[in-house]
Amino acid sequence: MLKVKFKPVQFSDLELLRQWRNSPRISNNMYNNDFISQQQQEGWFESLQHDECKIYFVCLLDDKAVGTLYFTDIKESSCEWGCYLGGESLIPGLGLILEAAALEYAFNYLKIKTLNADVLTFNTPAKKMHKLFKYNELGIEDTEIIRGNEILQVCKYNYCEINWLSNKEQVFKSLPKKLVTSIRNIKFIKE
Amino acid sequence: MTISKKILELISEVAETTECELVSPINDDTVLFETGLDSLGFAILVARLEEELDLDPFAESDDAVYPTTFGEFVNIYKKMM
Repeated sequence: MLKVKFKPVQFSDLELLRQWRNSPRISNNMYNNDFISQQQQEGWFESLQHDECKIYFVCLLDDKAVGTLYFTDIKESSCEWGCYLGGESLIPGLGLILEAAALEYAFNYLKIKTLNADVLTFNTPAKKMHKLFKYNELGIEDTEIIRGNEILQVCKYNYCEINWLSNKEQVFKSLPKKLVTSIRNIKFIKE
Repeated sequence: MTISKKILELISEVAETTECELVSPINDDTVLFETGLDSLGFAILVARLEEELDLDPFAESDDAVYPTTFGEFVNIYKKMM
């Protein structure tokens, strides 16, 4: 069983997160793929300290940072989420653990009613994962994103708490049993 | 059949059931993230390998080493056999 924990991002995590975020594999799937400098990263972290609409976690596997999970645009009844896996090593099933962790944290800790997710249309793995977890696909957003010389389109998804409660066990049945055990043992820690 | 061939065979099988498009060829230097198999695919692959070989090198993560390439993935299984 993979023992996965999530802890809030701390100053000491910034350089690792910046390296991950700047890697082409990750930045290509973001709205903005500009290189992030150390100064920009520290500025972002500083602003995060005063922003109650955003929460960023580091995903830990046996105390080793392996990815990040974040919630933005947090309101009373909704928020948006995203994640990425760090490094180049494969941890089988970690993407699915992050997907489940987002739903569990949103509904059990943030107590919101609707979780939103935006995915760039070419990000097929993320779209497949949302389909597997039975997200509600809302379609392609009218407004396009301009990124350098590219015009990007965004596919919008949401998940209502009531639907997750009804779909959860069915989704888990479609996953390998050991992975489900890991998901059921996910921990969110304060430090 | 070598373990490498067995894993490749299962990767193809899993890719078909999870509707993943694999790159060709997959060799020892192929980066796992670039094989075309997704997170669900790898989770199923590891579960299938456990059924077939009675081995799950990722089950106890205390000393687990996580692979980057297909060759490293195969070696993890080889070492446990």
